[in-house]
Amino acid sequence: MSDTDEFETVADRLMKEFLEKLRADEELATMADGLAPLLLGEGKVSESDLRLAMMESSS
Amino acid sequence: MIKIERLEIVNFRGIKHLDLDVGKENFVIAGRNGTGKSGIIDAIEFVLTGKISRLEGSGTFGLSVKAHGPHVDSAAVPASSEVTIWVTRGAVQLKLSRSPASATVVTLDPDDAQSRGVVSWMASHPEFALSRRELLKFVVGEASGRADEVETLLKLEKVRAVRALLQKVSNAEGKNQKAAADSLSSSRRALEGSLGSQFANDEQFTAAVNAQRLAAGLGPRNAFATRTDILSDDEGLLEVESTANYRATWLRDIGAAELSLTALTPEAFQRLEAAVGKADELAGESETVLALDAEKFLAEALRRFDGEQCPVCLTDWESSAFEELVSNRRDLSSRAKERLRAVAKELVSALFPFNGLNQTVSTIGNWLPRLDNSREFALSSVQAQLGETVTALKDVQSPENLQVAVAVATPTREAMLSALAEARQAVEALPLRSEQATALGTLRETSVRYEAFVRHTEVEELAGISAARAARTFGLFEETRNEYLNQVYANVQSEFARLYSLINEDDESAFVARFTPKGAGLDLQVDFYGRGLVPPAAYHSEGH
Repeated sequence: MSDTDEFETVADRLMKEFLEKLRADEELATMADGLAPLLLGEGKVSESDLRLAMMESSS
Repeated sequence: MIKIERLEIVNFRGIKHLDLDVGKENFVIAGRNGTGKSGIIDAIEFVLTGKISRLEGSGTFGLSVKAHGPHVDSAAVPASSEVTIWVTRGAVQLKLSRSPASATVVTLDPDDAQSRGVVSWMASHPEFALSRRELLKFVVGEASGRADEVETLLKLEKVRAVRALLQKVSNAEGKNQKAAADSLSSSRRALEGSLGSQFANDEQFTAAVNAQRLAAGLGPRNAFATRTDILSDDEGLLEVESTANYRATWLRDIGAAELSLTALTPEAFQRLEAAVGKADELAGESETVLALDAEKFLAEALRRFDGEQCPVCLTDWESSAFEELVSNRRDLSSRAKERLRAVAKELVSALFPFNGLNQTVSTIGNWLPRLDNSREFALSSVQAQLGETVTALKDVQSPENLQVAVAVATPTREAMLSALAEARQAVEALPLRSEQATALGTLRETSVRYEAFVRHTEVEELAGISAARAARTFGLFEETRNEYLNQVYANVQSEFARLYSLINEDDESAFVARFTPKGAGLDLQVDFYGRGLVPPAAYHSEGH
């Protein structure tokens, strides 16, 4: 754990890694932009918001 | 992460004066009982947060930081008691001082917004002071409970929640896909029924439709993309359009249903009855039904338990007694869920032979009103009952599903036979038409069913894409989470083993610990003397 990124939470870093993997995936890349505000923002993620972000990017 | 450079304790807990320079390194405090080890931990927690966990919670009634934070000789003058710490967090270096006389007031050097930010961050991370009781939660327990505790400690609740949601979405999309595949299979059967032949590919379907087109006096076509390719409206020869034209097609549907019913042996009915009986038995056990819904509630109750009071009824509890009670209730809940899963599996298995009949009867139900709209066919209620049975029994996952499942009334074999015979009689009473008119009826019915088949094919394809995306997204999240947490666990595991070996180097220097993620849980195994990895409490006491 470096001193430069220590103000990020473990959860934030994990979510960012996940989003990077999504972006690297040819089929799922479009999902990352929709999911990013949900996963990195404050507050709980609801199932409907998550579904919306996942499904909108597939259309 | 904060790093401690130096710590100075004056008249605090059991310590008169101690100046400790730890140089931002990890450190272990070792010593005999009563030499002040816990006092140092209390001092660190106090200066960083203003609290002393050991003076809060179960069995600490009447204790306070102000009265019991200072050294016993300084109890009358709490202002003479003070703890000072020098820490760094990232690029921020600061000195904090706090006295039990006014525990909420912290003196900072430098006193600026950045320092205040660090203090506020530390106040939200009380995990650095873990009591023995809390530590045991990580050592002794189930893999799932340990993962809960670790994720709470690391503030990974959101990760856990997102994982659960992604899994839920993935499971739901998988079910959608299966339902879409079932509907497609049903519409394919109906289409084959209307043509009176099965087709394995487009060529065979084209040949079967063209045979009917030739019989109807129409020219063949190369391919059929839409309903009107099979029979366009202007090809309808509406003067021969009547229910009689469908006689052959409808009789084929009834024949298919009769065949499905023949395949349903009395044993199949008995098996379904027995499975529903078991579901009924389970639904009758009120304590089990209650336990089915209690898992999340109990986990939350345990999480909110402050060591003193039940968070629901506010009754005082001994910590271990409360935890044991909740743990027993959770065991009951797990066993109830296990039983429900077994019952659901048996229901699905017993229901399997009925699915084909349900599909064919459903096809008949679609055209029955056209046969005679003024007549009430027994097959209509048989179709409704059979449909309700299949819907209610195919996915029993909750107490509500269970109640619905045991309330269904599956039609008897005799009732189904009689209802099909009635429908057959009514169709056979239709006048026989010419081969051309019959072929036109077949084409008309086929075109309607083909439209449904095309729609179901598209839906199934989309459902397949959605299910694959959802499963892949969940898989990717799981992969990321495992990789990340494995890295965290590997660090904790090596440091934990190193410190344990250091403390017990006289006889346990070979100590090894291993954390292994198991699904949503976290398994822990230890090896004290090189005899192999075992769960922590397998051969040793909690204290060990």
